[in-house]
This record gives sequence, structure tokens and C-alpha cells, in this order.
Amino acid sequence: MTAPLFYVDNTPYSQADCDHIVRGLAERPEFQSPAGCRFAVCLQDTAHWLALCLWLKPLGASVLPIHPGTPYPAARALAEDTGCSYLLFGEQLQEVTPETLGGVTRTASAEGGELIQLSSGTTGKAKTIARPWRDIDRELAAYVAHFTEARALTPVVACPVTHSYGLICGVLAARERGIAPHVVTNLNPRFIIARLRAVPEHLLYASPTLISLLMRMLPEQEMLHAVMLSGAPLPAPVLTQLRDRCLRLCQQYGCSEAGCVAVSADVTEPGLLGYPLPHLSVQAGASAGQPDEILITVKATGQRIHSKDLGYFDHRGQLHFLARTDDTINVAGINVYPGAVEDVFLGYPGIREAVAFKQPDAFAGERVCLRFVADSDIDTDQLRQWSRDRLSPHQVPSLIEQVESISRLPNGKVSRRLLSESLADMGQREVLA
Amino acid sequence: MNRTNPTRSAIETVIRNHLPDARLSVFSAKARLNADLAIDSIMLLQLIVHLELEHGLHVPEEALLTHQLETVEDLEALLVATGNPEVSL
Repeated sequence: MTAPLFYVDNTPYSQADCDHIVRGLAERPEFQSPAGCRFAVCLQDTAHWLALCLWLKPLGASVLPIHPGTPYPAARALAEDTGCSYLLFGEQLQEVTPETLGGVTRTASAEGGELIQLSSGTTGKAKTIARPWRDIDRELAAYVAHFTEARALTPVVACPVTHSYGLICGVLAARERGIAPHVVTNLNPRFIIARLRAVPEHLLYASPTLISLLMRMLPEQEMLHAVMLSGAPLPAPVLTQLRDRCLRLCQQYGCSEAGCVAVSADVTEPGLLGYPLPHLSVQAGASAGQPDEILITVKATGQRIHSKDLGYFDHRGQLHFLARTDDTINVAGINVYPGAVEDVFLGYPGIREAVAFKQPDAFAGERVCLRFVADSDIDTDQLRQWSRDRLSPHQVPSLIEQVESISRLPNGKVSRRLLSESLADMGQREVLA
Repeated sequence: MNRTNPTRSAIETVIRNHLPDARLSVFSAKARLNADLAIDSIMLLQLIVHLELEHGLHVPEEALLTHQLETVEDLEALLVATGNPEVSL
């Protein structure tokens, strides 16, 4: 039996298994000259998606992976909007007849093929991002060379492998290291914990929400091995809890256009993103007191990417994140970073969640507002007094409000922008004393 | 409220207490978790974790959370008692 290329849930898939999955495709008319064609792929069976992806990539085909939960009309609309030539939609590959769509565009940049992703962006309107496979290969080489701590670890990927984070950093990086990643599609928490136990030297790729939930289910005496965080840095108390429950807590930072930008193999404080990957040139502020937008340049192509994130390098050359530029609150010319305010309030006994956001103010330009969720009723006057001893004057929220819950976007993230807008809409400005 | 089915009322309680974005007003045995109650995969996971930690109900390790798990009834059928006698409803 040949070594597995990857596992999906409990099942190993070897090269022979993958060849079997894609058998017959090479003879089909749609795959006669795959280079430059865009294939939209929405397959329920994750092993079939991965086998197809690993087959199409070296052929120079462009691929738009679509999350398996997507209904057919939505998948078709995505495929059409992104100019795909064909849509492959169904449970498994054998039963799928590629559907021909309008777009048969072959652009120069598509040479060698591209991975097409949709970025949610901050405006809510999806943006198409096409990254050449050769850019992704550079990212993979840099990621593997730079992130040496992962060499002996087996990625357990419990996030969608139709998205770059799970696909590139989880699956393809493991393949680059010659390790078979374990992809988990069954989100039953007891099942995920069992998979992690079965792979003792694991490196878990999952959303911060999933990781926090797993930690709550994990028996007290048990620890996870290595865990990768991505996306917005976690609040300080959550980070501390996670650090206590795993041997190694890593954080990576990136965006859809550039892929992974920086990795920290030991996150000791919120916002620490680690050293930038060697294939990129990254600019940011010179210190915590002088942050600037994180600017990314891909060395090989000269492509420049504005992250819209504020950050800085410390004296050791590690990158730190402070806030989304849009979320930064400008109080009379002084920048307030929501995370710094939230971390203080999360230290108050009983407060479970806290979100700081901005409201326009006639005198100060903007001011800080805070909503929190707590286990019991909290006297907000007392809380404000308590916070005055721990925050700079411009950081002290002018509105502090206890709420039942803080609503989130479909991706589980809090939108500070939406909180700001909803408060303005509700005409609650007079509450701001 | 359903007083005759403790598993169903545990599900309803967890949704009320922990999933503010779910559409609890249409809660029933036949309600579809995603299409009717607006519970996505991460919310489903939260639901399962709270059912285990607060109500002593768990989904066995081998159970699959796939698209066959569609309604409140389907979830009820998956849940078994953890065997923790101190569990409260």
C-alpha cells in the first residue's frame, strides 16, 4: 500500500486513490486544454475536491473552490460572476457532468493557472482575487522554510479546505513537507478531539471560535499539542487561557491577496504576528507609539498590497497588529485601538465579552463606546470609575452599555463598524453624556 | 415550551441563552436548523458544546454532523445522556 497523501476524517487517500477519483477526466472534452480555463468546483465530498485540485494544479488550470455547503443557484452565480468556463457541482466527481458557462477567457496572468478566491472584504461586497499558482508555490516554499517549528508536526485541518487558509497553509504546506495532513469535515467536537488524540503531534488549523469551543470540551488534565490562530488577534484573557491548554500556540497573519504574510510560533501577547515570510517585503510602523499601515510587497512580482491594518515592528523585527485602520478610534487626534480598551474591560470580574467601537463626536472628532456582556448586572458607573484607573483618559469610553449579547457577522466576527452604525441609527446619541 | 420532551427543551434553552442570532421564534421539532433557525455550522457547534457542558447531553464521537442532520428532531435523535448525575435542566 502506498503512503497516504492526505486523510479526510478517518480515511486515508493515497496517490492511487486520487488517480481513481479523477479517472476518466482527462478524456472529457472540458479537460482537453485545461490551462487557462477557470473551473468552479463545488463538491460535497472533500476528498474528491482535494484529489481534483491536486490533479488540476500541475496542469495549469484555474480553480474557484466553492464551499460545499453552498446551494446550486448560489454556486452557479459565483461561478458566472468570476468568469468561470465550467462548473462542477455535486456530491462526488464521477457523478458530476461539468456544466459549460459563458466565460472562456484566457488572460496572460492566468498562465500557469490561478487559485480564485472570494474575499468578503470590509464593505460586505465580495471581491474576486485570482492568485497565480506560481505565487502560491512561492508562498508555500517560504512558509515551509520559515515555519521550522511545524516540520515535525502533522496538520489537522478543521476549517474549510476550499478557503486559502485551510487549503494552502493546512493541506498544501503539509504536502510540501511530505506530511499527510488530516482534514476534518465532521465538526462533531468529540470527533475532532478524538482525531487530535489519534495524531499526538498535531498542529491544529481551525477558526478561533472552534478552538475555544474545543478547549471547553477537552478534559481538564488534557492538553492540545500545537494550535494555529489566524484572523484578528484574540483578546488577552482568551489568549492566556489558550496558552494554558496547549504546548505551542502559533499565530499567522495574512490576507487573500498575499496569502500568509507572517507567522509567530509562540504567541506571547495579543497582536504579535511574528516575523514576515522571506518572499515578502513588509513595511509598518517603527514602534508601538508610531504605528503605520502594514504594507506588503511581493518581492518576485513587485505587487504591493495595502492591508488596511495598523501595525509596527518591535526591536527584534517581529510584526505586531494594533487594529484595522477602519476600527481605530481617533479621539482628539490620539489613536485609540479597540483591542487595548477591550482587554482592560475583560479583566473586570464577570465580564465575558467586550467590544469597543467609535461614535462621531462634535468636539473630539470621535469617541470610544463600549458594549459588554456579563454574568450578572454590573453598575456601569462603578465600572467606568474602575476603568479610569487602568486606561488613559482618551481611552475611557464615554458610553458603556451592558447588553444581553453582541451580534456577530455570519463568519463569527464582531463588526465594530456595524455596531457604530447601529448605535447612530438608533438615535441614542443623547445617551452620550 | 415543550414540557414533555426534556431534550427538546434543553436545545431551546441553549439557543435562547447562547445563540442570540438564531431565529428562535420558529422553534419546533420540525424546524430546520439552518434554513429556519439560521444556525450555521459554528453555531451548531456552540449548541452542541453547551448541551454537553450544561445539560449533560452529548453527540457520540462517531456521529456525523452532515447535511443529513437537518431538523431539531434529527439533533434530538443524535443526543445521548453523558451519564453525569449532577446535570440540571
